[in-house]
This record gives sequence, C-alpha cells and structure tokens, in this order.
Amino acid sequence: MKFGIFDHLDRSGPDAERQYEERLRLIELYEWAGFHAYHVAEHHGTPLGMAPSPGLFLSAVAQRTTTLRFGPLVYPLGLYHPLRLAEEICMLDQMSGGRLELGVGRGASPYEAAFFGVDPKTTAERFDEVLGVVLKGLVTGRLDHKGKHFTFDNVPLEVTTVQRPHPPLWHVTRSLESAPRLAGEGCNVALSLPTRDAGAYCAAYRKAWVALERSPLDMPFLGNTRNVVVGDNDRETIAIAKRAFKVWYDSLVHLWRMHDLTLPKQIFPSEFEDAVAEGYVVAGSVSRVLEQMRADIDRTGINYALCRFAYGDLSFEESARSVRLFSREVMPELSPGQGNESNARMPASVVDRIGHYGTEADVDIAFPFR
Amino acid sequence: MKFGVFDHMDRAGATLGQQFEDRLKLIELYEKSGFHAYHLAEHHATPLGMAPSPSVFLAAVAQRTTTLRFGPLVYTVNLYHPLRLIDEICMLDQMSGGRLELGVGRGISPYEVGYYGIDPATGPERFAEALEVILKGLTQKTLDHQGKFFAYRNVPMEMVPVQRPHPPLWYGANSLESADRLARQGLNAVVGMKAEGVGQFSARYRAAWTALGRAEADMPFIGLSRHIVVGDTDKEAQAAAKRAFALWYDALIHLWRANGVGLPRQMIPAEFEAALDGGYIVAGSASTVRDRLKHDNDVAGINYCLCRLAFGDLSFEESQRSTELFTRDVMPAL
Repeated sequence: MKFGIFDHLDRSGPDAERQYEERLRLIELYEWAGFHAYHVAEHHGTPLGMAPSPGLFLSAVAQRTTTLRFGPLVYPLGLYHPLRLAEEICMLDQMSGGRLELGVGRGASPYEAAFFGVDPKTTAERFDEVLGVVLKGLVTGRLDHKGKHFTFDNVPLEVTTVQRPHPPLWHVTRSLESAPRLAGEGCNVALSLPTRDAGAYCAAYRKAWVALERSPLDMPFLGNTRNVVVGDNDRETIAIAKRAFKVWYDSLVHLWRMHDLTLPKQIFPSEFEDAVAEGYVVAGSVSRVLEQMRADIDRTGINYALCRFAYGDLSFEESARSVRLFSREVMPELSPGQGNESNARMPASVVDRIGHYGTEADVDIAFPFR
Repeated sequence: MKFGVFDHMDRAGATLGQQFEDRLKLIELYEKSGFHAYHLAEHHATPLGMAPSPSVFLAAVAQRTTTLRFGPLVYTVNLYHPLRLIDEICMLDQMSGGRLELGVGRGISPYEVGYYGIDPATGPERFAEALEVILKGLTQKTLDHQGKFFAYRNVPMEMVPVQRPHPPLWYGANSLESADRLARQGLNAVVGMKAEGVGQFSARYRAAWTALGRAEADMPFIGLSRHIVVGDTDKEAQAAAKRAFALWYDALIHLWRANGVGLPRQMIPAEFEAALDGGYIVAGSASTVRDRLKHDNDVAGINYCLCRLAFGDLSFEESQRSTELFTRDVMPAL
C-alpha cells in the first residue's frame, strides 16, 4: 500500500502567484511526509485548473523536491501535438533524474476540447493515435507515423527520457470494461469512484491480472482519489472540509453551469453529505479518518491511496496540518513503514511559512515534539 | 547599456540531466552578476535546441532565481496552439512574480516547422494571426476571434499575467526595413546582423522613435548577440572558444546539412577565425574582449549587450570563469 497526491490545482483565491508558491511548499511537505508521487490535473478555461500547462508547474516541482515522483494526471492527449508532448516528457524526466509518472487520457470535458477547436467526438481516436506516436517516439528516438490526424516522416527526437523505455503510464478510467485491457497493458490506474464501484473495478483488474498469470508482486498501482482533511476534532474539521468542498465543487461544475447544464450526477455528487457517504470525502479527527480510510481501502481493494489535501479554499495551514497528522498517525497505521513519524524537522520553507503566517497552534504542528 | 544572456541550449555532450543542472547553476551566477535577463531559444529535432519546450526550462529558472528576468527568444509561435501559449505565458509570469520577457517569432527553420506539419509558406500570415489571438487572450476576459487559421467564440480566459497588459515583447529582426514598424509598435529587438548592419538598424529605429515624439528614456532594447569567452590570456580563451564554436556550429547547421543544403544566408561564418574577425565571437583576455565590445557596441548603437557565455562543449567551469571575468573586468567599462 502506497500513498500519493492528486491535485486539480483549482483556484483557491484571487492571487495565483501566492497559490503557486504555497502549493510548492505543500509539495515539499508531501515529499517529507513520505508520499510516493504528486499528480496534477490539466484543465483549460476554468477555475478548476490553474495549471493548464501541467508540464510547467511540474518543472518547478522538480526543482523543489529531490525524491518525490510527479506527473500529469492526465495529459489530455487530444489537445497536444505529439512532437511537443514527446519533447516535454523528455525534458521533465531529464530535469528530475527520472521521476516522471506519465498520466494520459482523452480529456473529460467536451467544453475544454471545443475551446481548442477539437471536436469532442474525435478525442478517443486522437488519444489512440497520439499515444501510439509518442510512446513509439520515446522508445525509438524517432517519430515515424502516417495517421488520420498526424504524419511524421522519420523526425529525430534528439532528447530522450531517463526512464527506459518510457516513464510509467497512468490511465484514468470510469468504465469497468477497461479493466482487462489495462491489466493486459500493465498500466497503472487512477479512479475517482465511490467505494462500491472502485471495489468492482479493482476486483476485475486483479482477476484479469491473475488470469494473465502475472505475479501479485508486479501488480501496477490501482489508485482512487479521496478529498482528505484531518484535524483535532470531527466537528470543526468536517466544517472546514465542507466549506472548501463548496468552492471546489463550484470550480468542478463551472463550465457545465456556464452552458446551463448540470454535471452528470454519476460523475460526482453535488452535496457534501452525499460525497462523504459515497466515500469521496474523508474528514475528521485522526481516529475517524483512520477508520474510514481503512474501511475504504479494504472494500475497494486499492493499493494506492490518492489523497487530495488541498482543494477549494483550504488555506496552506489547513492543508499542512492535514498532511502532518495524516503522515504521522494515519499512514503508518494503514501500511507499516509509510508516512513520517520521525521527530525530524519539517522542510524549512514550511516551518518558515507556518511561523510567519500561522497561529500558535500551527507553530506546534511545525515542531510537534519540541 | 544593459547586459543579457542568450542561450541556444545546444547539446553540450554530458548527459542532458547534467547539462540542465549545470546551466541552472550558471543562470544563478548570471543573476548574481547583474545581468538583466536570460533569453532562451526554441528549436526542435536538432542538437541546437535541447530545450525544445523553453517554458519547461524557464519554469525551473524561475525557481532558481529571484530577480533575474527571463524568457523565450523566441517562442516559435506557429508551432503552438495559441490557447496553450497563452496559458504558458500566464503561468510563467505568475510563477516568477512578473519576470517574463516575451520573445515571439514565426520559426525560421523550414525543417523544424515542417516536422510540426506546418506549411512554411503560411508562416508570416499564420504568425500575425496567432500573435493577434495571443495578445487578445492576454488582455481580455473572453477570447473571440474569427480568422483564417483560428476561430474562438467566447472562450473564458481564466489565467492572467502579472505584467499588464502583457509581458514586454521581443522580436528577432533581420531586416533594416523592419526598424520602422518595430519602433512604431515599441518592441524590443534583437538584431541578427553584423555590428555595422546593426548600426544602420538602430539609427533607423531611433530616428523612427524620435519622429513619433517619444522620449529617449523610454527607448526599448535594441540588442546584439555575441559568443563571449573571457580567459586569463587571449590564447587560452580563443583556444576554448574555437573548440566549442566547432561543436556549436555543427549543431547550428545540423538540419540543413542533413537535408543536403547550406544555410540560407550568411548568418555566421563557418570558420572560427572569420567569426572572430567579424566580431560574431569575442574571445580573449578581459582587455581584448572589453576593447572589441566597446568598439562594436558603439558601431552598432545598441543599448542591450546580449552575451552567449555557454555554447558548444564549454564546460561549466569555463563558462563560470568567463562570466566572472566578464562581470568584474568588462561590464563596468562598458
């Protein structure tokens, strides 16, 4: 069982510059806290995605961390030129010593595809074509392809990835039918599903894996995203989680609303209480979060808990407190050896920040054992 | 006179990860040394450009520096979807507290443009339209545009740059005639000519600027880029420069050679001695470099001295030494 971070980098307030810097400090804390990887989404023309070019933000992440893995979740392949994407992937992998996790997808929003002049009906075939060109290019160092949307005649890539043949692939999916295919490809999977549906998906994937006679030790990551807020007591923490949920949900449905539509209910519940009941949001004291996460993991059968500690208008201090408590008291309980129970100092930039902006209680989080 | 750095990020020979890290350390030194800005080229599918996505590298530069300005020189605009470029510009400007210098061009290599599936013949027209879209997108809340190459209807622009209305624009100028237009538009220019040619360009730019009734103090940058190697002696510096120039020149002409043709115009002589003689490369002891730059800068009438302190297989230590000597013994005299 490992733990990762998923982040929309949805707008938290009016000051983008401050949000980027605070998020980078939080990411330093994720590394310190023992998370496996940081995954950031890509969205366009919406407050849901303040990192519309995830590659740029991740280049900054590479500078601020040394061991944390990171990647887009996902690059919407239909919105990229394959040559530029291959070049960007190589640069990020080189600039991080091979820490890139390569999430690929079709792009969920028809509105965002349309902004780019891409017919949403073609995103599936574009996805297949672009992924084929890019992976072959990364492996061979050349782009050679004749297809419906792109043609390359032996174009040299000149840049290469550190990780050979290419960085680990991640797919996002909602459909149970994709499980045998993705298991066949040995692809990591990131879900965003209620407990019951995630359980069905993981069971199908694991069944296909066994049928392929592959070792359980080689099992790719099966992850599911959860909004997580941890605090001193249930009541206050749940109130904070609910406040931020409303801001985040508004961003999530922003483009649908603009088109006078509601987000299909099966994609995400609109009410905080429903989101909690379906397992999407885990909020409360350490004991409550531990109990709910344990039950969720048991019932879903995931081996990768994708946590979202920063969303909506959660302040840096609120998110940092969640991460600190989660890594010290939740992660090791769920998976021995995970998390960070040590007395070691937190990253200086986090301590500085909490000391500078925080309350007395926040400073105590920075130095929990002093 | 201000000083900037221009960088092709051509392949240096070490592993690429090491090259990026060495270059970032050098850029920290540029900041410490008082350079105004770091300008990075964009090239594709050639050892001339190991930062084919300049934005990705510049995002790292923003993390490693606090006051140094930086930017692409230039974004090959035709190889981008305009919306993505708007996003990248806004993110870089926000992630650096407004330090982006925005160089734009159409992309002059027909091979690189061709790799992207763009017909080079449409270059100027497409570029003009793309730039119009980008500037609209940076300055308006929603993007509406109906053109020959691009169409947008009511696309929300959620990202904004820190610098309003947009970061300073830079062009690569290759013709004397463009001086009037660039002056009218108030654009910074880096001129790809010899010092004498640049002299004519800057005289014409200044004349056009004055004729518009604008103040001398508001003059945009007119820059000239040169390879610079400073060492303890002429012999030592010129030997290193010659060695590195050969590798850099191979990278410069790589795609042309691969396609069996020469460079379309005499951008720079192939022979080191001729390049040195023509002032394309200024290499030597501090006093040699100082004298040559002083002379050529006067002839060129520039107010922005663009230095290329890392090229070819110059080692980090060689470029570091060069930068230190330049800062200590050359800059103050200019």
